[in-house]
Amino acid sequence: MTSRNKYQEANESIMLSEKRKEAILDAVLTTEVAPVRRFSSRFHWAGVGVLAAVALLIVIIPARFRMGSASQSEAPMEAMAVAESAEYDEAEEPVLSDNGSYEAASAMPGIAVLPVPDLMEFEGVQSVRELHNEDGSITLDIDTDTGRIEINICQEDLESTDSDLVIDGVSYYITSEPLLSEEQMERLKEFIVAQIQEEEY
Amino acid sequence: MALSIKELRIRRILDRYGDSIFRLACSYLHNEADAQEVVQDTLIQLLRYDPDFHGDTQKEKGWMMKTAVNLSRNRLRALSAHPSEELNDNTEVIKDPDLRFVWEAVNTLPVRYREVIHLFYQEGYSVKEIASITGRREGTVRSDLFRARADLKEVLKESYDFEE
Repeated sequence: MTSRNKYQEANESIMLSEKRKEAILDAVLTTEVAPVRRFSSRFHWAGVGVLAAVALLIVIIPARFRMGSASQSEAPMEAMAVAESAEYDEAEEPVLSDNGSYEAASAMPGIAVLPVPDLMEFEGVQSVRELHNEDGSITLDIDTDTGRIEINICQEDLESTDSDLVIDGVSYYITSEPLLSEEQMERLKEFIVAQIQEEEY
Repeated sequence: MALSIKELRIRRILDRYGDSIFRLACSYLHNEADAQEVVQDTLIQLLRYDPDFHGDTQKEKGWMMKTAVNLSRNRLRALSAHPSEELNDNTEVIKDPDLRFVWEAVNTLPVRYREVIHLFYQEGYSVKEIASITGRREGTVRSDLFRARADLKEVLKESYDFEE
């Protein structure tokens, strides 16, 4: 029998006796439970207020922009050209920055692109597979001469304090099969740091 | 005597998920009396929030497990904050020494590791589902699972075969 089956079998023997079940039922049914009102009238009106505020913002902000462009049309051509070029520069700035696509994408609201090191140059690496998980984290599945390395990259998880490497709030969890020696782990970490910094500068 | 709708519902839930919740709570608390209270509190939360699962039993079980995870963590925190109420392992029902050895090996792991091991191997949840139940990222769950297996390998030595 495998350890996994033994663990399952051990668990199967842990179960609620009829006596315990009756005690639980008795306790639950005699406890006075006030149901949580999920949509109370107070929240209902708060929700209406929020929606109204959002609707006002949607109407007012474009209107102000339209007013701004209307006044520009009355301005001398030269001033308008300057204003337009300033607007253009502002909008394009992230794309034109040295940080390339990472910077540009992270400038978009709600989208944080995690910095992924290029590990093909690292010692013994044969292939790297990049998996984008639904929660926004990235997993690098790396085949090497001596085994497999998995690196999970995610925005720093407040609950986790055991990430192997943190660079600018991004955590790197490194696991390997067989386990890397301390020296190999240090070399890999240094390589990742160098790769990320190279990407940034 | 006719049973009320509320009682019928609670009985059905208890019959369907009671043992799973009890085992999960035992894996955190190592104590049947505390685990029993977690089952009880989970049912009380169900009555309090009365969530609508639209007949989806997977969702229903997921909600129960998530609530049980949170209640177990709270209880564990409260127990560790009061050293007088020591955690005593009185889950004596596992008689077979071989099974007990593996069960105890899992229970020597840190809480975050043993919760992923339990949910993955005992309950058969996927990494994505565990992430949703424990409120962690999928990548973190994957790492925890990997490290938990590495730790278990150390403890179980030759008899190790916890693999995907």
